Amino acid sequence: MRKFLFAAFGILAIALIILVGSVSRYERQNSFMIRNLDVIEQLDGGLNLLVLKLRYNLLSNYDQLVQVEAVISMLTRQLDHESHDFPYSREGGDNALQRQLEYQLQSKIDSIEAFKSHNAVLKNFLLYAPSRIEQALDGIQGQPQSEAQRRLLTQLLVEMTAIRSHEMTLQAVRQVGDTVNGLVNLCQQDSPNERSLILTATDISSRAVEYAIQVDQLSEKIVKNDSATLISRMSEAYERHYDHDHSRALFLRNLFFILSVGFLGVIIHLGIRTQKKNRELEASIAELTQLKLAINEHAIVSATDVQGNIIDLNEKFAEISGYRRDELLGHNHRLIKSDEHGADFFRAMWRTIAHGKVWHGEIKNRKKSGGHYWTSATIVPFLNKKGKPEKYLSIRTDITAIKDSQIQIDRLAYYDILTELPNRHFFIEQLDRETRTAKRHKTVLSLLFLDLDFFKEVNDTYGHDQGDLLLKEVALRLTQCVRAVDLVSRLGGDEFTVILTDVTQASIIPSTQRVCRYIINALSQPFQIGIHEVNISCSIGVALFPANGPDSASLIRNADRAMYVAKKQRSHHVFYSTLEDQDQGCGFDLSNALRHAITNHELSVHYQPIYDLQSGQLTKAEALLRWNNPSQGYVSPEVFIPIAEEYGLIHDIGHWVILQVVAFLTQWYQSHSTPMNIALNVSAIQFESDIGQKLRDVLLAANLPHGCITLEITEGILLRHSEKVLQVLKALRQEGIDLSIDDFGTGYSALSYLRSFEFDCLKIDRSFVKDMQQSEKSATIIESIIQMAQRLGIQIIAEGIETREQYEALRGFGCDLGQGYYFSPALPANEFENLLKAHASPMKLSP
Amino acid sequence: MTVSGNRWYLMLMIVVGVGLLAGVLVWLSTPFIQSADVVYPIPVNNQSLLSPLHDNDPVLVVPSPARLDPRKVSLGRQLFNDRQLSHDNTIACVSCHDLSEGGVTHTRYSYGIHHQVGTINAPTVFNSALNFRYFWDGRAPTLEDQINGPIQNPIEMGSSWSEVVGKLNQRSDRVKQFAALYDAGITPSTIRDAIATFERSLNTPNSRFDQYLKGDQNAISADEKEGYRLFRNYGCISCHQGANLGGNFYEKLGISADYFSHKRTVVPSDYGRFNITHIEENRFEFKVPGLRNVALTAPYLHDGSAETLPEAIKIMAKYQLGITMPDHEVHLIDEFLHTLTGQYQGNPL
Repeated sequence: MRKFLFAAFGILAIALIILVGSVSRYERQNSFMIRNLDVIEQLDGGLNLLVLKLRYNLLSNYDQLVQVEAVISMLTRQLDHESHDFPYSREGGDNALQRQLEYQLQSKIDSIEAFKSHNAVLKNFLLYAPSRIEQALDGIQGQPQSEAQRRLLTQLLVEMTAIRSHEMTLQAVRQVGDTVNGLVNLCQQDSPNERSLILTATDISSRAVEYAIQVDQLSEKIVKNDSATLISRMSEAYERHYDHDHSRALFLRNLFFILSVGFLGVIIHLGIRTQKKNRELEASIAELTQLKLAINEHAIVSATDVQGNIIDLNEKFAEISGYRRDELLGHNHRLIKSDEHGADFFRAMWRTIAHGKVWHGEIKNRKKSGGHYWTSATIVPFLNKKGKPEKYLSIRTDITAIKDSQIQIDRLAYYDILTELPNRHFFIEQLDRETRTAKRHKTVLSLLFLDLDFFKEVNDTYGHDQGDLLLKEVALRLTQCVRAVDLVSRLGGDEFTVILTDVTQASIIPSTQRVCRYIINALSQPFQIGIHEVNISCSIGVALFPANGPDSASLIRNADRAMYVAKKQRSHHVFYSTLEDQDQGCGFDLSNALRHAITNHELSVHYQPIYDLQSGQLTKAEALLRWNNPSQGYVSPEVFIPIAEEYGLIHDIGHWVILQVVAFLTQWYQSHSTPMNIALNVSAIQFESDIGQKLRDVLLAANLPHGCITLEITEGILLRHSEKVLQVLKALRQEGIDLSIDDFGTGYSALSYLRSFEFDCLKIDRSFVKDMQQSEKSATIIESIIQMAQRLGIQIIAEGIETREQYEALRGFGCDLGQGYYFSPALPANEFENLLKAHASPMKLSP
Repeated sequence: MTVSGNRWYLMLMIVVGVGLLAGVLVWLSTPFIQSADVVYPIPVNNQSLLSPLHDNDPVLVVPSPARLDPRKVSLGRQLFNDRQLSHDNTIACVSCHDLSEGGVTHTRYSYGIHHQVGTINAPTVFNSALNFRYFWDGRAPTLEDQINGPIQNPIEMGSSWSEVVGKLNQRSDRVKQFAALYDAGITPSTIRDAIATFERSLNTPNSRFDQYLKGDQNAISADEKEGYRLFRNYGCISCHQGANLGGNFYEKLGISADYFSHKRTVVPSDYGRFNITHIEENRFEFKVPGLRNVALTAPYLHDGSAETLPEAIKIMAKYQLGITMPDHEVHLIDEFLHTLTGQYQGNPL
């Protein structure tokens, strides 16, 4: 575009220069011609004047005439010379005029030459004649006809003198003729001498007249020469051309000027624009360079052709992949392909980028050393003009660490760290899946609940470390007892489960019995734990699907119940079905007893204090429900809570707990006027009734300040009832109730809910705390959870702190709060109140 | 990057653009016509040509030579003396126009190469700038044109321009001299220019008669004054007028009597201007010779037939005026003509 502009301007300018140049040359020639003609015209007039002056004796030499003639002939020659390459002379009649003028001037010069010679002779005679006449006058003294002769001679003298200054008219010629004739006639009588004198005089005079006539004719011819007319005609013609040219030149000049200004304007405009662009470009280049540096520092960058052959790469690529630059260049990207992704994955990727679209994804690549690294990759196709990709740019960031921790977290969520068996969540989900599958396919499965006997004794005797080793060995033996399709998992503590699938209706009982025998047998073998030989046994409760429960929850409950019975009966394994046969009321009894537990005052709320790990302040407490059944003794919440949930007692119990806690808080607040925070555990079932409204009512009646109640929710609640529950929670939070996530790290750890909802507290599951001294991974997880919580501005509570080391380590990690046996077990209300009173004034934590 | 390249290109474009604009502005600010004066100066002030000054003086004083480039004059002088201008390196201009001999040789005709004899009497080079045309028949309008004549005339120098240029080019001093003065170097036209320039320096002002004309009554004697009076009264002055006392028009030889009747044979050179124009009227017409330094330029007339000045005066009286002039008057006129001898480079000729 710009090139065209320049070219157009260039051509225009050159054309104009040529045009203007030619015009100005012609114009110069023209003006020269006019001026030349002007001078010739003046000189031509001058010639006439000089000729007349010479004729009438006003001028006596030819020098001026000669000079003027010379100049005229020179100018005429120049005129002729110029007109040869002067276009105007050739158009129209100018050239003919020129020729005419030259002819006229030449004939004028010729006439002048003739004039000069004749005039010289005439002058000569006129100069000489008077002396001849005077001689004649002297010679005729005393002659008879002398008087008449003298008169005639005098007359002749006068007439000769007149010739000098007067035109030789016909009359004058006749007069001189008469005079001469008279004298010639009179002198016939004179002596020869006198006659000769007179004849000489008359002869000279006659010849003078002859010459005078010729000179007059010549001077008339010269003066009347129409060169002047021709000159003015030529001048006019040239002036016409000149005017025409002049106006054209003026027009062109102005046009040229305007174009020049325009051109300059365009140049300046382009200049400014280019300058600006250059600055922008330089800034962009600098920015790009920096960006490139930054990208090279951060990311793996490579470019490939359409076949995927590497055509360029950065240092980071070589560094991370372990290949040298030259080992990668020119090779196909497949070189670093790992086995992680199937053919479909790459097909989809190629389909995307081959269509010119950007592809994002995570790819696992192989290092030269055989190791792997994960990258988050973006592949950008560079399209050619036809819109087809001509090369691909791949920018990848190394996310191996993130991926590893992701995998780790996934593992944590679903696997038990210690035994590496699936954990409770995995188990529940898996059982869910299996029961659904079984229901669909009308197949059967059996569920084994397994509890170690004497494990507590092992722990107490040899320490937790040895206990852990025992658990690992138990896990190993368990997995050896079942087929690959069966699932062994650890629920926690010394409780394990086994799901047996892929069995027929007919064989289920014998197979299950067989597995139980294997397990019992395997676990009854002595364990070599360190230097000790340990003997334990186990109790197994079995529930069959679908015979012993329509869904996973009931199946779990029944298996647990069966195991409970087995333990109690000290029989190794108990089938729930048999349990039902012989003691149908076991579960029913418990629920019935629970039904009356509130009214019988068998339930009580205990408080486990929560300390600020950094300052040692007792800042909170967790309310824990205890059931002291007169016949059963203390029943674990893990047992009765599911029953309460199943029979719908949980709502009343939950409400009762709320009332208890609020009453405690109110009493405390009224007597000490400092607020206290108590955390309540809320079951998922409770959200089915309007727990929010109940809580609000109670709190409203109590008139407690904000921040006294914390609700502890498991991740499961959030996930299962997400939208509705979130609404309730949000409303509660606005009422001044804090929210806390319980058992963090054991659930789904789908961190998304942290993003979608604001929590005040996060409680690290006791299993991490328990393992942190032995397991580096647990420690790392705790640390990262703490760091994450700090970033998110969430308070973090570690539960299950049992040793000083755990306390110190957690404190070191920056954990905010902690609870556990190390500080204090859960205390009855009055004891807790005493403790609180003791802590009412600030004091150092010294448990 | 091409950024820096762009910048240079841009600067160049701006410089060109500004230059263009400046040029146009300068051009705009100058009027159209002026340039004609520069290119084609008109050499003569026409006003002075028509002025009435000295109108009625028949004889004008010889002007001092015009202001000329002394280097060209010097080169012209060397060429004037250079025999290489002739075919056989025997004849120079000066051979026939001896400056110490009044610009002529005192032979009737001049000798060319190979001792060939010319057909017409060589006129003087002194005051030749004052002549209106050159050669007796006036065939050369300028001194430059005149130079073509003798160089190429086979019986004079018998050379050609290519030969002359070739010879001069072989001389390094000549090449240098020409190169210093003329861009074109040695060419026929530069040779002509140099010689003509030298010839224009050959005016002989300040003769005794000029001193008289300027008002010094004692510059010439009574006899000489009487001679001048006769010169006028006989009408000689009607032809021999102007600064050169002639040399400014043609006149017929034999106005009053047939000059050529007494000659045994009439040769073509006697036809004068007729040879150029072929017009009968011009037969026997010659350029009127100037009389400056005439006392030094014997013999006289185109055919060199008058060996002395009185002889020439008598011939003039006889054939032009048709009279026989008394000897004492011839003598007086002769006396007068001697006062016309001028000075060259400050010294009398």
